Amino acid sequence: MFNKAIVIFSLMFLVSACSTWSDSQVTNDGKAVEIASISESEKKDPSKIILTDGDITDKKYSVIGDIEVTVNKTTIFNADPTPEMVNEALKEKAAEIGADAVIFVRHGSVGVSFFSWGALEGKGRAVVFND
Amino acid sequence: MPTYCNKQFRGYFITLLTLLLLVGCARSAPDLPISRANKSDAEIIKTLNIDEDDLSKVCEELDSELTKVNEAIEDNELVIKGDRVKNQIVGYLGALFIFPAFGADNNDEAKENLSNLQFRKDQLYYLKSRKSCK
Repeated sequence: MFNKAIVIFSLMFLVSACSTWSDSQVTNDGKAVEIASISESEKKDPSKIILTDGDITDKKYSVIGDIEVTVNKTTIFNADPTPEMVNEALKEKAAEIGADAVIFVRHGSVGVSFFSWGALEGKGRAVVFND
Repeated sequence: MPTYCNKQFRGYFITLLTLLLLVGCARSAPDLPISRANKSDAEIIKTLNIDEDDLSKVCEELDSELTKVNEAIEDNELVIKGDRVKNQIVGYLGALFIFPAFGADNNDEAKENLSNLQFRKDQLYYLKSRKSCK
């Protein structure tokens, strides 16, 4: 009985510690971008990534790829993922692939997905500025 | 010894699948517009389904419509957000007793509106960039 309680409490602790989890992918012309091929020096600081729902017209850029992220809540009792969480996930992914900005950012709507009681998807185009 | 193939498990699995279909499914983010790299203006205009009337609009008109589109997006998102709380409660109860799950609202109309509005937004951003609007 006592052991069972410990197991249940441990599981609850694990579950409450991670209220959300996310998955992501980067594609260019339908093909997956190899993140392993990007060196550490090419990676950027996520806090410096520019995010916009429109285009960037005052700077020339090259497209790295299209990012797709989904933030999922871990259990039915956790709070729903927000667009801000999706934006953070987009920034992290963009930094990982060496992008300077993510343009045309858009979000889906929170709802039940096959893997979560609350999932929110976001997409954006990762670009690097031409110096 | 219960197995994963017994009737009870199958019943529970079917119930869960039914709930997933009923309790307000997540809407995917709309597709990104086509990349302009290596694409001619004509190709982009055709893909984005832009007509002559749109092409004749000036920057102020495009900005004004973009503001309206953003407002409409917010309104539709509020409709979905408003029903989300109801759908969650329905989901919790539905997990225990199936019938409450039938009370969920999938907001199909609002979701379709959002997809259409996003497409219009992509058209407007393209037109703004084509006319070098600020």
